[in-house]
Amino acid sequence: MRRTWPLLLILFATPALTHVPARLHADAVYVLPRPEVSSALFGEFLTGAEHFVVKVTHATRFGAPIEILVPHQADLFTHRPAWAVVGPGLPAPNAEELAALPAPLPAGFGAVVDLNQVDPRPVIFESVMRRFYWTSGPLAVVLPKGESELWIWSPGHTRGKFGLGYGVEEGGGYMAALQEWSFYAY
Amino acid sequence: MRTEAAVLCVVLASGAWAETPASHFEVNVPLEVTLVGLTFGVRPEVLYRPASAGTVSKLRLAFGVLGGPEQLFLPLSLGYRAHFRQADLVQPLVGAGIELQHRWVRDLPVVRQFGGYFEFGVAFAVTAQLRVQVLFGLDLMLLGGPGVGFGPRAGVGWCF
Repeated sequence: MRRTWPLLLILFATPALTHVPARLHADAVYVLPRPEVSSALFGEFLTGAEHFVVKVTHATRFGAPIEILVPHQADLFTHRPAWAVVGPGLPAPNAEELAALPAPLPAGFGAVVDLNQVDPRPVIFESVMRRFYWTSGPLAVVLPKGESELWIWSPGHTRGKFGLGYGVEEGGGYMAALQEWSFYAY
Repeated sequence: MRTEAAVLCVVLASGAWAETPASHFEVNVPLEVTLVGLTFGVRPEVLYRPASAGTVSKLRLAFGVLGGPEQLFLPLSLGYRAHFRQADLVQPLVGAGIELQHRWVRDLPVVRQFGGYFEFGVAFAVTAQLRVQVLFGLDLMLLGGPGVGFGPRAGVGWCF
């Protein structure tokens, strides 16, 4: 029995070494339930005109790396969704970023914007779902205390799936992944 | 009732379906689908029985070539397989071992993961030499990025 403990530890620890997955829908704002835990938020641009919105609320100032992932598949090579963190207390975006936003910036709001233009596109291997993704590259953002929004859109109106990686404190995800396995895994 | 009778006939017949093969080698060519990191392909394997005929223990060496929408997957496995009831029609299989996995995409160096695998399934004796087998494999990678993978495989095998 003593020898089985390391194996059991590994089996149960592996799910803990994951972002918590969730599926985004363009027609509904997604409220991140545990913003202190890292998330992998997946969605799909069916028309290329969608605007995904995620609300995050932090009790204190909070630093989080954010990156956007696209499945490493030939037909998605030109698919480059962009993301922005929008809210009060964030810096004002430059003119190019402001023009690229999918909606007008509310009064008093600032924005940190990543238009996903790194070239050549970095590739990562995600070992839990064993998938390869093109990434925008993680960008660390300090979110202010209170409510902010994550916006995700497709500047080139390209269609296809994406994943948004948010945060570093991994909190498990295998069980959650099973709920929409086909969407996350393929 | 008719179904139960048919099952009973198969079970009774299975006891005398195949002779115990005296061969030490076995080659299998199963088709496989990996359900974590989707790939399809073949994973040929060679098994060697080091002891006398009828013993359950076999050593296994396998190398797979599988492709998917995102990657080329090349696993190399070395392990042990217990092959039970070799004189019967239905022959349970259980195994475990170590595995080195290679994953390749065009614009990234090869990703290597190392860990262990488990497998279980059944072989059906068509003749004393020819078998059809169906297995389910599960692997647990520890180095190069932790993760669990699983998937079914099925194919034919030949003893010699």
